[in-house]
Amino acid sequence: MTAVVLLLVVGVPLLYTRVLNDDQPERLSFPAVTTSAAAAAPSSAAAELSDAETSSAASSSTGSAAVAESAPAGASLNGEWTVGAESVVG
Amino acid sequence: MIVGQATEGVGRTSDVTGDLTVTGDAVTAGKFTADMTTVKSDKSQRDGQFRNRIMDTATHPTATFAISAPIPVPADAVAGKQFTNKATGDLTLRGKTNAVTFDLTGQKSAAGFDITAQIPIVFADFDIPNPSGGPAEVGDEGTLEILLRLTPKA
Repeated sequence: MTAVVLLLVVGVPLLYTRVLNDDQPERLSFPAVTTSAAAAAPSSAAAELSDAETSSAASSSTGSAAVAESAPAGASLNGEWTVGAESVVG
Repeated sequence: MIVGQATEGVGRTSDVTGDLTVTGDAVTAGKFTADMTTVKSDKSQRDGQFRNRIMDTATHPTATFAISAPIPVPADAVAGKQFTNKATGDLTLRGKTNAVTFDLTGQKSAAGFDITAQIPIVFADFDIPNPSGGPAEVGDEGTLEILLRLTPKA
């Protein structure tokens, strides 16, 4: 009987805490960067960004996680940008 | 807190649209809108509370943020490196607008740039009723967390 009471008193709160903690959502973060894929893809982000105002290829990007390691020095970001997103209200 | 245990409720939507303008190495204009009617969490009961009592999405279906001061484009952004910056603008939630300043982090993506930020929200500042209800006790503040995907316009 004592064992049953102890199990209930200690076990249930522990289980409850475990369930709540397992249910915690993940924070938003950047997609994983795969630089090797960028090297294999001739249509790199750097090329797209260097001509932001006129590039139509950028809008057809698949949005994969592949990115170039660096843009050309002095690449301008001037121009119009479209905002799409995920948003979280916590 | 739910029955004395700390927990966290999160609702999420990907229905976010907007535009941004970079002129002379600074973000000179920008606005994005989130569809609050499509925010969903892992609990349908929570979603009902969110849409009705808490955010009244029938009356205020969107949340918006508009830049109110130019944001210099950091050299690291031009160089394709991860960067941080501060943004100031007008945030509208539940029909109430407040000026906010927050830190953002950016990183180049395949299509353009990804931007993340966490904006602390005091519910009362936006006339948002405290979300507490039933066994759930919620504090006075929440966090608006965003992941924006910027792509250059064709």
